Amino acid sequence: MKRLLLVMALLVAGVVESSAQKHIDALLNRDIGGVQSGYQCTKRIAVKRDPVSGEVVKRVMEVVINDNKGLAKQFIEAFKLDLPTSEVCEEQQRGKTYVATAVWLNPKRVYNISVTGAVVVVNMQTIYREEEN
Amino acid sequence: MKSREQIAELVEKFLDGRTTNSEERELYAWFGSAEVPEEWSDLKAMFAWYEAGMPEQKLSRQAETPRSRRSMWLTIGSVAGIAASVALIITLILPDVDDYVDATHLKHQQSDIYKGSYIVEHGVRSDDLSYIEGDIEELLERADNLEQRADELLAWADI
Repeated sequence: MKRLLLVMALLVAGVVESSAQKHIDALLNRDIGGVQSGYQCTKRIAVKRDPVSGEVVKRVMEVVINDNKGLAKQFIEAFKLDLPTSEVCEEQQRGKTYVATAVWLNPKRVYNISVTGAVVVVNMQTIYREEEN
Repeated sequence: MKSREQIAELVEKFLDGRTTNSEERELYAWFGSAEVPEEWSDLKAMFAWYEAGMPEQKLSRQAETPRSRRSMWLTIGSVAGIAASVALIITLILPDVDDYVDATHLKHQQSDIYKGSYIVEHGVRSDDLSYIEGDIEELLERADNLEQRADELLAWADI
């Protein structure tokens, strides 16, 4: 049975700071996945630019960590600490999988984490400019 | 039996192409006999050859005529074939070349769009966009889905 925890956080002015995601960013900026890290890790950085101006429209970072329960715990803790600073967030426990999504504005940042056992997938993106469809 | 003079006349007639079939058979028979004077030995060989149906010439004509005709048709056919092939190749390949140029241009444009992207796997960094482009596009697609979810949350929160 899925247990769903939905937390909608509406925060007052002043929450949008560069340090708003500091706990998560601190983990993401660590040299995870280094040669001597002892666990499997893949870090993907996608930069999407405006084809005409070359200006960065969106920057996405995805970190996939396998077989590291300790780091998985640290990420969950970091998300729990940073979620209250977001404009809006959603936390779910789907069986053994913990999923959280948080959104900050100016610039728009979307952070998502999915942890199943020792497998962590963190996806964070910064949208500098909304794309025209 | 004809005299040598009559045979000589017939030979003249033969060489002029005026002999009848029976006269020609007569000549073949006469020159086929053993009584041909030595000075006519060339004629004897010639009539033996004619009597045998001009084997070499016939062969060579059979071989040459069709060959020359064939080669003429082959030449015409080859030229036409080559022209048609070239036209076909141009027709078939040019759009492909255009497609290739377009695709290359598009790929180049796409690479520019993703400039700065990279992947670190097992401690190895790869920023060769031609190699990682597929992964980058998949990642952006996942990011788009998450952004959609984020927009839904913002809409619910009326932000």
